[in-house]
This record gives sequence, C-alpha cells and structure tokens, in this order.
Amino acid sequence: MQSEIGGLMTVVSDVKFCIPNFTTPDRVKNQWAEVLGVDAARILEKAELVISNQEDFSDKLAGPSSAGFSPMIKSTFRSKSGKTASQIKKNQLVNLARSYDKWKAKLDFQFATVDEVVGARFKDSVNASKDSMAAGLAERTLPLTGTRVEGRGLTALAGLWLTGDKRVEGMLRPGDDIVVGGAYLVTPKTKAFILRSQLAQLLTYAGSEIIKSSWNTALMLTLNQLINECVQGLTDSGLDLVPFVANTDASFVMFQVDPVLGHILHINVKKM
Amino acid sequence: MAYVKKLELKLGIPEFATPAGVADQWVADLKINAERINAKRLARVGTEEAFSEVVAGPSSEAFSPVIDSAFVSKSGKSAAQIVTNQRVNLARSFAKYKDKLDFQFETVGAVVAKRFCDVVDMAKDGFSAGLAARTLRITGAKEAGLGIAGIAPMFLTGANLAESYLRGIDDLVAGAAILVSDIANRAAFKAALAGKLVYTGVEWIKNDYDPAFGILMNVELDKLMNAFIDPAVTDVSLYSGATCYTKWETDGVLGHILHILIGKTSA
Repeated sequence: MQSEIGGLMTVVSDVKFCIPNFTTPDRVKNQWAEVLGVDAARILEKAELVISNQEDFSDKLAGPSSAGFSPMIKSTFRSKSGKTASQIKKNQLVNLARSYDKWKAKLDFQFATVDEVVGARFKDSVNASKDSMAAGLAERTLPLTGTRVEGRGLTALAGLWLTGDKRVEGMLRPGDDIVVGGAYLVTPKTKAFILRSQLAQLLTYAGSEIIKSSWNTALMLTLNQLINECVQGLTDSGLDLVPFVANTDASFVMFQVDPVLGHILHINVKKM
Repeated sequence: MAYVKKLELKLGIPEFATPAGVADQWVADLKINAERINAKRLARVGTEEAFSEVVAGPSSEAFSPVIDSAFVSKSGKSAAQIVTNQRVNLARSFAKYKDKLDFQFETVGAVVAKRFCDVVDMAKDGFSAGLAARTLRITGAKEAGLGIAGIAPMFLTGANLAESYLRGIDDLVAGAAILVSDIANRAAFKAALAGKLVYTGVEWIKNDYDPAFGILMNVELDKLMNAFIDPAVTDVSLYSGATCYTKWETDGVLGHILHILIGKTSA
C-alpha cells in the first residue's frame, strides 16, 4: 500500500517503532560483573600501557580535557571568588596536569591484590555497582537496543527496515505499528551494512540522550537532524526519494512523542 | 603632603616538607570520625529531597551561568541542552550517590567504614604532598614555625612579639608591628586576615604565581584591609598604590613574597 501526498510525493513506507519498558535481566548484570572481574588484570595492564607516565597523562588526558573544557566557558563569567574565565581555564589545566600521581595512586589502590584476590577493590566496586548499572541500562539503553534473548530493539530493526530486509517484519514487537508499506531499501545494496551499523550506533546514542533529557524537544530536534543527515548521506540518489530531513514533510527517521503510542521512533520514506 | 612610612615588611614563601606527624594525625582523625562523618552525611543529605535541595539544585544553579550560550558540543548539544542534561543527570543521581557512600561506609569484617578507612590510608601521601606544596607554605606548622598567615596578622595588629617570629627568608625593611584596625575589631581582623591570606596565597601558588592571578588575589586583600583599617592610622590599601598595601608579588631578590606597606599621608 502506498499513500499519495498532494499528487507530488508518495509515502512508500511508514513504521512506528515503540520504546518499551525494560527490566535488565539478571543474567545481563551478572555477566557484566563477571566479565569485568575476570578482566581486572587486563584492564589495569591496558590502562598502564596507554598512560604509563606523567607525559602520557598530560598528552592523553589532561590536554584533551582542557581543550574540551575551555571553549565551553563563557568569556565574561566570573566566579563567586572573582576568578575570570581565563583563570578558571588555567586552574583546570594546572590542577589536572598535576594530578597524575593522585590518579596513579587511585588506580594502583583499586587494582591492588588484597587477601590474594587480584583487583579485589575493583571487583568489589563492580559488584556494588551492578544494580545501578542495571537500572541505567533498563532506563536508557535496553529499551532501544533490546537483547538477543528478549528480542531486538529499534536500533537493529530500523537498520533492517531501511535496508529492505523483509525479515524485520517478523521481528516486530507488540506496540510496533506498520502504517504504510514494509521494509524499504533506501541505500545502494553495497552500502546497506554501513547504514545498518551507523544507524544502530547513532540511534543508541541519540535515543539514550533523548531519554536522559526527559524527551526535551530542542535536544530531540538536534539529534533527529543528526540522524537524518546520516541516513541522507547513505541514500541511493537513483531511487528518487524525497531527501531525509528531520521534518514530517520530507522522508524522515525521527524520535517523536506520538499521541497514541507515546515515545516512538518514526520512519517515513517518501518518493517523488 | 607629608608621608610617613610606619611599616614595610616582605614575607617569603618557603619550600616545605609536611612534618611526619601531620599526615598521620589527619589519617587518624578521619578514621576515628568515620561513623560521625557518615551520620552527618545521612542527616544532611539522606533523602532524595535533601539531595535535590543541598546538592543538585545549587550545583545546577552554579553551572548554568558558566556555559557560553554559543557553545555547541562535538555531539551537537547546544549550551541550553548541556545545562538541561546536567540538571537532569544530577537530579536523577541520588540513588547512585547514596549507594556509593553506603558502600564506602559499610562495615566489612567487623571494621566500621572499612573502605572509607582504606581510601584515607591510600590518600595519605597525596594529602601530605599537597599540604607541603601549598597550604603549609602559607600557614607554616607547629613543628616548623609560623608562616605568613600567622606572622602578617601579628604585625598588622601590633603584636609585641611579632618580630621574633620572622624567618631567614623574611625582610623587615622599615618600621615595626602596628595595629592598623580599630582596637575593638583587633581579634576579628586578625582572624579574617589569616583566613584571607591562606585562601589567596594557596590560590596564587596553585596558579604558578601568575601575575594576573596575583592581582585578582590582591584585590581581595584590599577589600579586607579597607574593611578593617583605621583611616587615622594609615592610608587606604591599594595594591597598585605606593603608600599602603598588602599584596602578593614577585620580588627581584626574595622571590615570591607577601609585601606589606603601611603609611599615612597627611596634609
């Protein structure tokens, strides 16, 4: 089924993917803690390999952190103690550059062998964080990604949908709604795997940020624009599709608040 | 116009090693007080509501004016979105905050606040190094003698024994200790000046004796001095002036110092 709009454009595919409530399965959180615990020695080894001295710390942590921090500060800002923006920036750099010894001491402390247990404190902390990790995952990530056991989420389904993979129609969950058509290939076949992987990453990031912001309208618009730029960059120009833009008059992939379905990812493909 | 110089004093900022007992005492005090610290924390920020009022709210209020409104992050977030994110993330973080602190103060193997105590032990050397590099250079220590924060207030409140506390790195250029405040405010002035010298001195050290930052700290000192000094005794304190000041500066001979000049110009 296709839906014609004013004789100029035709909607060839329209689907609404729901964002379900999710509880992190116990096996996921236990596995997370187990894997981190097993890898404790390797994690320490890698950290020490990447940052083995003060110079590495300055080059790889302090410098980039300051470079990211500086442009964020309003130039006219003055702290309560009278510090100017440039003094605050300098303070941040100086404090950070001097903190290598403290950083190293904390790392050694966390990964020290206690009572013959390698990385005992690290493992202890990981176990203590299990519930909080599970809560965060259930709130922001799993509603988007799903799991292999419980079923795939919209981050996988959207990529399959836009690369015309008909299997997706059998993976839909209660709450998903095909409005028009079906899975639709919008990209050259040779780029289908790129679209799937980029879209999965971007939707996970954007969806998670949007959920964290409590569905802030402005943030949603910014991130929807980003998603559509990504999809448009990979579309097949020979298909005569209406370009992907974060706007309901165009083709789009957008996080939305639907009056009936609630929070959704809405995909709409239009042809000229 | 006659100018009379009453005191000129240069106080040096020495190198310092934290005396052995100081860090040990810090560790012992924190360990003994672990239970009390935890109880105080629970009483003050023990509920989500208190967390919002005491931590999240004030933090967000302080954060938003810092961000440049034109800033856009690498991931495309605008300043407004960054501010919203910070507020939302913080408001939601009570459970994590509480879990982490409960974990730190938990009794493990009959040791109260075991992990907190372990962390304090671990932090001892860092604490000691920080103290030696910054605070003690301004305050001095019981075992090693008074520092600038003790000596300068004595000179400016006219303490008889002030000169006996001068160290080899100091230079009494002219005059003697003099009370520059009203006698009734002597104690308050002495305490306020000591506190301000510690804050401004430590900040100046932390900023590698940056001259521009030194000026900012000197403005702070001027404000305090002018709030207390008796105009019958001395001119207004002005770090950039030539008749009366208390300022951090880098001296050609003595290096980084606190320079005090007290004088009176009369018609």
